[in-house]
Amino acid sequence: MADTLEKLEGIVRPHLKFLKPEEALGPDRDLGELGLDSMASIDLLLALEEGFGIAIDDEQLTENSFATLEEIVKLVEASR
Amino acid sequence: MDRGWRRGGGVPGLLTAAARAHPEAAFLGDRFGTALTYAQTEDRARRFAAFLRGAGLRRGDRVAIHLRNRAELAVALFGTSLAGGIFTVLNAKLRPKGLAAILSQAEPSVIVVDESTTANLEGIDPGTTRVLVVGEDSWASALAEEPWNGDWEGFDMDAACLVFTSGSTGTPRGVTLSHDNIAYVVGAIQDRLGYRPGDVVGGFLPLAFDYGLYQIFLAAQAGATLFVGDPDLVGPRLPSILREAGVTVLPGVPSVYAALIALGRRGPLDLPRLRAITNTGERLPLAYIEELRRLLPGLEVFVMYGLTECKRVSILLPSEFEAHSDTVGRALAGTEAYAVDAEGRRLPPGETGELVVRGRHVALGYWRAPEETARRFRKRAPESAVELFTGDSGSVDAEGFIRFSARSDDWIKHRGHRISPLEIETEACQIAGVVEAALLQREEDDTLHLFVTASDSDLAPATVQRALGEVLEPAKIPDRVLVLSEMPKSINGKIDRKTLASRLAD
Repeated sequence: MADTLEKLEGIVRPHLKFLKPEEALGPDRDLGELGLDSMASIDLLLALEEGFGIAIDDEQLTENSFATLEEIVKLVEASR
Repeated sequence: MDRGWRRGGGVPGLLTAAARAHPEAAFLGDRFGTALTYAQTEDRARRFAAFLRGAGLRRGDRVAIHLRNRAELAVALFGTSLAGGIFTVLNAKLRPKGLAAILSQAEPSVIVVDESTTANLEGIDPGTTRVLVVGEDSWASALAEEPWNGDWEGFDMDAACLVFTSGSTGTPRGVTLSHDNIAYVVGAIQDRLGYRPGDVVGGFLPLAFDYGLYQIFLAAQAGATLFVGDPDLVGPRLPSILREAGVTVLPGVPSVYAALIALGRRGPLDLPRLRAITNTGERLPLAYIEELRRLLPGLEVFVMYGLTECKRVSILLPSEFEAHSDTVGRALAGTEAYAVDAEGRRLPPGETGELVVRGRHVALGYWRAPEETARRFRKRAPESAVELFTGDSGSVDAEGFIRFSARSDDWIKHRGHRISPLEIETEACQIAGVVEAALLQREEDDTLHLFVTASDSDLAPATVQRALGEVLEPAKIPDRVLVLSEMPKSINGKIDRKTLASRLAD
C-alpha cells in the first residue's frame, strides 16, 4: 500500500501544474485545485493504466475518481 | 417547409415555432435531472417573461445569465427575448474580477445565478440589479408567475444578445447580435449541417461560448434534443456519458475530439449512435479526422470556420472533404467571404489577404465600443453594406472554398477558445513581484507559456499561476511560467517575442 502510494504520487505529480515541486501532496488534497482538470484526468488515466499495467473498467469511473490521491488509490486497487 | 429563419420572429420564434410543431418532443435534458419538452420550455420561458415585465424590464434592457451549463439557462434566455430584453450568458468559470468588468459594461437589470456562481457576486455592489438564484425561492417565485401569452413585442433588427469575448485591447467586448443575425445564421448553418428531429445534440461546450449557445437554437430549429452537458464532463467518463445520453451529433473544439481519441486508445469507444461531429474554434488536424473515422466508422466530419462577430463564416461538407481537405469550406448560403489587400481592395481568386465577410449574419457591432466597432465593422461608402474585417488571413478560390492561413494578431486560440494575451499579461503584472510579462503559445501542443521578470528572485512559477487563478478563469491560466533574469528586447524597447519563441522548446 505504501509502495503504491509512492509510485502513484510519482505518476500524478506531473499532471498538477499548480503544485510546487517541493510541496507535499497529502492523500486528501483537492487535485482539481492543483490544476487537474477533466482533460488532464484523461492523460492521468492513461498514465495510471500504463504505469501499473492495469485496465480500469469504465464502470469504475465516477465523478470523484480523480478528486484526491486517496480516491485514485481506490480506483487502482479495485482494478488490480 | 416551415422555416423560422424565412418567417422571421427572431429568437422567440425559434422556440414558439418548435413548440407548435412538436410540443411533446424532448428539447432539453441536463445532468441534474431536468428534462423539458418544447411545450414545457415555452411555458417556463413565458412565466419568466411575465416576471421580467412585472419587474419593469423594458425593450433593450439586459439580463445577465451567469449559470453553469443547465436547462434553466435556455428558459432564462428565451424568456428574456420574449420580454423584449437582451440576454448575455456569462461563463460560470469567470472570476469575480472578470465578471465585474463585464457587468459594468452590460449594466443588467436582472442577473440570474446558481449555486456554482453566486459567490462571484460577493463584493460586487448590485446597485439596482435584481439577483435571482436558480434553486432558491427567488427563481421559483419568478417561474410561479402566470405565463405571459402576448406576442413578442420586439423586432428582428433589435439586439437580442451580447456575447462577451476577447477584444483587441485586453478588455472583453460584447459582440452585439440582432434577432435577425441569429435567426438567419441558424437557418444557414442548418442548411449545411442538417440536424434531424431524432438527433440528440451533445452540448459539452460552455453555453457562454457562441457555438455552445447556438446549439440551443440549432436544436430548436430542427426539433432535436439538446443534452446540456458541461466542459468538465469532457474527461475520462465522456464515452459513457455520450452513450447514456444517446448523443448523435457532437459539436466541439479540437480538444474535445483529442479527448475521444486518447480514450479510444484504451479500447473500442462503442458509440454506434454518434453520426456526426462539427468542429469549430480552430483547425481540426487531418490526423485527428483520420483517427476519429477509424475509431468511429461512418462518422461524418464537418469542418468549419467562423468568429463570434458573425458566428459562422463557412462549413465544409463531408462530401466535399476529399477534394478540398485543405480548406474550411465555402461561405454560408446568402453570405460572401473574400480576401482583400492592405488597401482593402478585393483580391483575385487564390491570392492571400485579410478575409472579409458580408451578410445578414454580420453582428451589429461591439456593445458600447465605437472605436473597435469602426475598426472591424466597416462601411466603405455611405451607400455600401457593412463589411466585417476578420483580422484573419487567407484566400478564396474560384469555386469559393476558403483557405485559412493565419489568425488575427489580436488574440490566440487556445483549446478552441479565443484568448487575449494582453489580458493575461496585464493581470500578471498586477502580481506582487512581477515586473514584466509576455505570453506565448506553443503551437505543437497548444500550451500557454508566460515569461516574467521579477523584482523578487525567489518568485515561484506556481505562485504566479495561483495568483492568476484568483482573477482569471481556468482556460486562461498559463501551463508554464518561466522566471527570467532579463526580458529580451528589440532595439526600440519592445519585448522580443521571436527570441522568447525560440525558448519555448526548452
